[in-house]
Amino acid sequence: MTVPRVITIATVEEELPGVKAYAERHGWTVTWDHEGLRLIFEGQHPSNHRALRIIAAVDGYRALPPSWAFEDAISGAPCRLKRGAVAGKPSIFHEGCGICAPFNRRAYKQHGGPHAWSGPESWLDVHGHARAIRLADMFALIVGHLKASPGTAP
Amino acid sequence: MAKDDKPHGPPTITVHVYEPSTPDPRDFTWPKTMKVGEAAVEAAKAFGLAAEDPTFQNAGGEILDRQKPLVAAGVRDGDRLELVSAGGGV
Repeated sequence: MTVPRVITIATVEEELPGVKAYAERHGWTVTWDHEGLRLIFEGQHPSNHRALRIIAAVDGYRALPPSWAFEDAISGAPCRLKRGAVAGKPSIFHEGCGICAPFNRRAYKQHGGPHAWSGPESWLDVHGHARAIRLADMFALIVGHLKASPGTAP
Repeated sequence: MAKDDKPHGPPTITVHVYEPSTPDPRDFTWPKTMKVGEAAVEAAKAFGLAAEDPTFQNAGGEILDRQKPLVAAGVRDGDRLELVSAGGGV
């Protein structure tokens, strides 16, 4: 499914005030790279205080979920987030795809992840897991699970 | 004042709830003993959301256990809470 670039930009920019407001409340900066269609969040891992960059590639959004990735903000190297239980539930962080949740394109088999679900085009209809259907809600969940994460790993 | 008559403060707490996609918060007053999940459902309805298993995230980023009473989850008067999904990963 192809979403015209101009539609994706308009959709993201409509959600941007909420994203920025949430990020500011929680000590993160956010940059909207509309040329590259990426949202870039920068902050610290709450456990080891390492500078962390969280990137959402939003090409195709909202027909497709974003593709989320983590980087060490100093070296630029990809990293993964260690898992910690969140209020009795398993972490959304996953060694292979980064985030095992319907709002991450990389979680779907079609994009190299472990889950079939109904395919990334049906991400808004996947229920029973960590559910977030707007960018600010997704980032809020990531921050919540990050709070319980014991650290980062290469 | 007898030992058992010590004041415990009002039985309710007022909090500022944000729905992350909506910049402006709403204020809610709930009994301290209300469960986090019940309060989050009420907040979600007020924001017009059909949220699945909603819960709150506190200002420190921690996602709160839906089964705990607000006061036992550490919620205090004047706190700023975010409405989020309680669902976990797989």
